[in-house]
Amino acid sequence: VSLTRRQLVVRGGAAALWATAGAAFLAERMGAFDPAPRFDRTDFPEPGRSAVAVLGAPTYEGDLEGVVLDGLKLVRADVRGKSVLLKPNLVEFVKGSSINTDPRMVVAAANALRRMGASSVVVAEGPGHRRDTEAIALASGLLEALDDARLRFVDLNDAPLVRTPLRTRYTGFDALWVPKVLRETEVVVSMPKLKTHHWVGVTMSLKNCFGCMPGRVYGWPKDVFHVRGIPESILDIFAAVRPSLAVVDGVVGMQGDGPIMGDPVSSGVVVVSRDPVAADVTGARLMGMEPEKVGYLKEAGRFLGQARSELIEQRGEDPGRLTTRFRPAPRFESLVA
Amino acid sequence: VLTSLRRPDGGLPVSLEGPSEVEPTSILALAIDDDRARSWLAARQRRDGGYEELEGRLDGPTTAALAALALADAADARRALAYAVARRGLPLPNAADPERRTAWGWTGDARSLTEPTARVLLAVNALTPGDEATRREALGLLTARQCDDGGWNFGNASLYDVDLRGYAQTTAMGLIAVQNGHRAVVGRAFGFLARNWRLEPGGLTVAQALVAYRLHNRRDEVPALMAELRKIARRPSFLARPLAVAWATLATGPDTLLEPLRSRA
Repeated sequence: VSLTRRQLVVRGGAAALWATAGAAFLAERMGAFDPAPRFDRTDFPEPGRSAVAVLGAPTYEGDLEGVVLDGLKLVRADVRGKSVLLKPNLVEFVKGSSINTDPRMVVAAANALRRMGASSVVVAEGPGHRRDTEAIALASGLLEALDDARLRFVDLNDAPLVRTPLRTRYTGFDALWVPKVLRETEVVVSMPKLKTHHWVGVTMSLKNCFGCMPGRVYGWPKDVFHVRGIPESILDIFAAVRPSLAVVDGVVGMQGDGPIMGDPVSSGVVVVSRDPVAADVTGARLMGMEPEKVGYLKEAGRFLGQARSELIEQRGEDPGRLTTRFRPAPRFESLVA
Repeated sequence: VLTSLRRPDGGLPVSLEGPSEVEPTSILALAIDDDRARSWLAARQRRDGGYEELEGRLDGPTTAALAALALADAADARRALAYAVARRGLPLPNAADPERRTAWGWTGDARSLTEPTARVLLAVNALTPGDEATRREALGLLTARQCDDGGWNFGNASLYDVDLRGYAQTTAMGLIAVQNGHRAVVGRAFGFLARNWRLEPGGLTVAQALVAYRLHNRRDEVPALMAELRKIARRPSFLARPLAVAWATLATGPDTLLEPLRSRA
């Protein structure tokens, strides 16, 4: 293969911007974190047993609201009288791709939560790659869907902020600037897409919280956290945001070179849990991956939620029947179960 | 609309609920040639030339470059620009000299990327055009990071041998900064922008694209961009974005208001 001069420049320089960091990370982070805890047990009690609902949803055209409602009931989610914020994944938009949480899933979850008695529901996201959130929300169809459902959208890249001291020590930050709306809402719901990820293996509820960090403080693509380490940042950010519900859109997931450049895969599944760590562990299994080999998930299981399969109760449908073997991200073949 | 979004302190926020911030206030000052906004910027500038936002967080260094374009006092502007220029971003992980910082990032502890570097180039071109070294450094990054499709994204042209796509908004900012010469880079970027701005119909994108076309004296897309901005101006999601409204006001204003952005290099 011959490379043009420009290709040489790009691949020798700019291309390495995060690729090299990713490779370095891979070498270091495929295993566990240091045994010495970077959290205090008094702040984060040992995770107990968790329940995760796994439900079949072959298309976005069916009764998604009913599916999510069933999931919320199965895990006994209690949102009655509470304010709720849905945080979908809208990191980037490419027509025909499966990068983002589908707008129909977002609306279905909002309606299900309303039926469960939520006092208010808003949708919020701080897209990771693009500054013009309005452009990406319009192009993806999210804004139109929210307007039709009378749901307000909050741009977390622009929202007013509050300094939030960290009780974890993974990135070296002593505090993060967090949008106030996340602190003022009673129930934050992480609503990721079920995807493989070329730097951390898999991405769901925990990694989705990157989008809660304001771009005008941390830049686009939230680059400060890339420099500090993606797995480390996932843990600090999740601990600061602390969503109390996860609704994972696996109706159509992404396999291969996720989270942006991968291929759609019809996986036909929705995962709901009050424990986002347990939801992500289950989601990894539903992709045919071994969650124990995902360094940040294993570490999260020490203090942020339940990662041990024997302590996660599966409810709803048979996960084995709903498992789709995703093609792993490049260099993450070892995650395949 | 823009003045109705202004805070009582004279500045402009990025969101309807937020406090005044440096970036939108700088664009407000330029968009309506506004002394109150300039006073806000002057009053909040630190002695070292940089800024601290109202909540107490340190602002990204390159917002000072935008403020430099808007500040009324030439000495204040020079201090702001010098502050931004001196705070380069981190080098690439595989850089030959990992200690040597080149170009500019969103923060002092992030890697150098497209838009922050474009801000510095824009301000240097306009205010200190004789600073060849800084101009060359900024242009070097923007040239290397231009995507295969001609656009710019946040700052990476390809990853793991896969070409990444450009974004219309970032490409517009790149073109606002790279004004004179550099025909190949500029021509490819305008080709990308013409093909893509309609696909990314946000107010900020369309407004900055219009500024880019006007600064380069290219009229081909101007009528269509103006028409689109008129439609966008009725959209609640646009009116809730003071920064986008400020850029749109600048984009549709008289030529004289664009003068502070013109390259003198």
